[in-house]
Amino acid sequence: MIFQIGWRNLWRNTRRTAVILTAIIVGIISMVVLSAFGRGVMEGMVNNAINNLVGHIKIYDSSYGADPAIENRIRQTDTLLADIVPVLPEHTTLVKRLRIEGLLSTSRDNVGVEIVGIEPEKERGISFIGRQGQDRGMLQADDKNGLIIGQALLERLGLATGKKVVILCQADSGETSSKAFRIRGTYKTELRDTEKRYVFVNLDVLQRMSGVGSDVTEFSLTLENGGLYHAGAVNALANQLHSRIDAYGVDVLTWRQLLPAIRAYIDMFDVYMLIWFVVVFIAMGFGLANTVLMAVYERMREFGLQRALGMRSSRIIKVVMVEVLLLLVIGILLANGISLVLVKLVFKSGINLGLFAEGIEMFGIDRIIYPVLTMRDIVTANGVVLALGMVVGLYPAVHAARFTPVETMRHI
Amino acid sequence: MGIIRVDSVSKIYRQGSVTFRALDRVTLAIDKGEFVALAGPSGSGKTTLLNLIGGLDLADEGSVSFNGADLMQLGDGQRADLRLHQIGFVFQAYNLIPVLTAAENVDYILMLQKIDKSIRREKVAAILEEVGLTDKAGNRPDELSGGQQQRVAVARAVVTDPQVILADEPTANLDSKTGRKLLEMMKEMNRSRQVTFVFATHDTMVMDYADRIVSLQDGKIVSDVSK
Repeated sequence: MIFQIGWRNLWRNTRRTAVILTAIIVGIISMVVLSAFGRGVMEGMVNNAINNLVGHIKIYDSSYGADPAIENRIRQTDTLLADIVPVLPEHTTLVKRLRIEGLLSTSRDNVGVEIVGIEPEKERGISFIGRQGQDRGMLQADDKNGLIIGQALLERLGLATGKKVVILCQADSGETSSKAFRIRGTYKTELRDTEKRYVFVNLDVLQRMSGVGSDVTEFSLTLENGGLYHAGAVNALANQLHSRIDAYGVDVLTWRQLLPAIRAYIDMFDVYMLIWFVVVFIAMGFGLANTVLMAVYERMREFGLQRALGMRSSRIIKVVMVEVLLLLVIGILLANGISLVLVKLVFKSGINLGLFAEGIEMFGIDRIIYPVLTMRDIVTANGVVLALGMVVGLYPAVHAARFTPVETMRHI
Repeated sequence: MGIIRVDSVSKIYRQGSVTFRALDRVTLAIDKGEFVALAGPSGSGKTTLLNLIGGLDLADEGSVSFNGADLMQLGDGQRADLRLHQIGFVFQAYNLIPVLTAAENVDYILMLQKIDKSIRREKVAAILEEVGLTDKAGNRPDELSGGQQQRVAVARAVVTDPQVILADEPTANLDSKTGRKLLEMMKEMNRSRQVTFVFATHDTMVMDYADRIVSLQDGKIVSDVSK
């Protein structure tokens, strides 16, 4: 009956209940939807970073991380691959890359670049270089002289597709190796600095040029589900690989280990979200406490009557807390329903931040942000509102329990 | 020894430097089955005395005993339990919980006593029939007349089989006809159930029904007459 009384009491003053419910609903929606967009921004950032030749898991020689020189390359490529491939989950892509610091030389200029030897057909859908449209020109697998250059570098050097450039790098023997390439196409990324940094050639061409045989500097793995919210799968595979291939003297690193700045930003984001939730609740909490207090004062004589009938103070507190609980639960259910509709339907096509595109691209953020609803954010937002709401409701509840029958019966 | 014993009880109210004695060394004993009116003008102390007897308030001097138990020695929770199980209350107004129906208001007190649901259902039906409100069982207080509301209040007070019912001006908001009906019903309950009734009233009609009239003035008992 206590819930029955609580439910009916809620609707004694429909307008007041509707007002406070609206405050709760708006508060929770702001928490959930904003955090969904925040997560969308994070996911975009992470995906862009992963696509920037990082992947979900990277394997390289133990010395390579501290000194990314050609000497610190993976030498037992084929046997290592034979140990890696059997444990890879379905739909995992493994690419080999050879990365060497070198020089790009034209008739007028020389710039330092990182030459990346890739398997073009395997990079498709994996890294930014694999996602370039055909209109930009592609690197074919059998192309011995083809080179893909960043759009920003192309412009800087005053080059054009089809022009010749010379790539110089240090070979394994220590001698300088050079080769002429023809620009087959360009690539574009969010950051112009990236476009000025990397040039891409076929892996076997660079291997021959540097005299490393079939060696590579890294393996990069991309899981079907390995992004921001699938840390478990990535960590599990990394651990499995680590124990399996540790004897080869290689490091197995996840994207979180390779991108500490992004990881720190993600961790900070979680804290910011929690702070936001608490701030929103504080604003909402005043309204809630005030509304319940008003309702309690209006029913002062009723509480006095109940005390006179023999109801203990603890039960009075329970009666008021049940009303607070019902208010919060109704608000939470409605707010979550509306949030779901907003995120899944209304904002299904994302929010276009085109106006701010240039600024946000600096941070690796996509132009269009798609909200990402996580169970964690929903539970946290609802948990904060429910827990703090009950705490806030305690004040008017204890107040109600303190009314003595004599003083309330005198109250008109 | 009476079911209710008031020994040299005083109740003092202080407002700043001003002291007001609502009750001044009052001594009274009420036996089981009595139908007593505490009569007097406004400010005479009759409601204050009723509140002390019911454990709603505590005396500043003297003692109040209920069935031998000194109410001053009981904690807040124990006095609440006493009111729940042994004392029924009927007030002048605001007797009922507005969001509950007549039946639910009566049932509420039984629920507080943790009585089994099936037994509660039977008791509620029986008592509503006794007070003539079976057809109003599903009505909320705002759908009942003043007299009907008071009858529900009496039903609620009686359904727990208390030893004493304390009624504070129960007929004050009723017309004389309705008030008389209410008093007749209470008188019949007094006879059939041997429930002790103590009224605080200045209504002469109530005094007509009372077996004993204890008159108060300025916080003192000025007369105590049994018919």
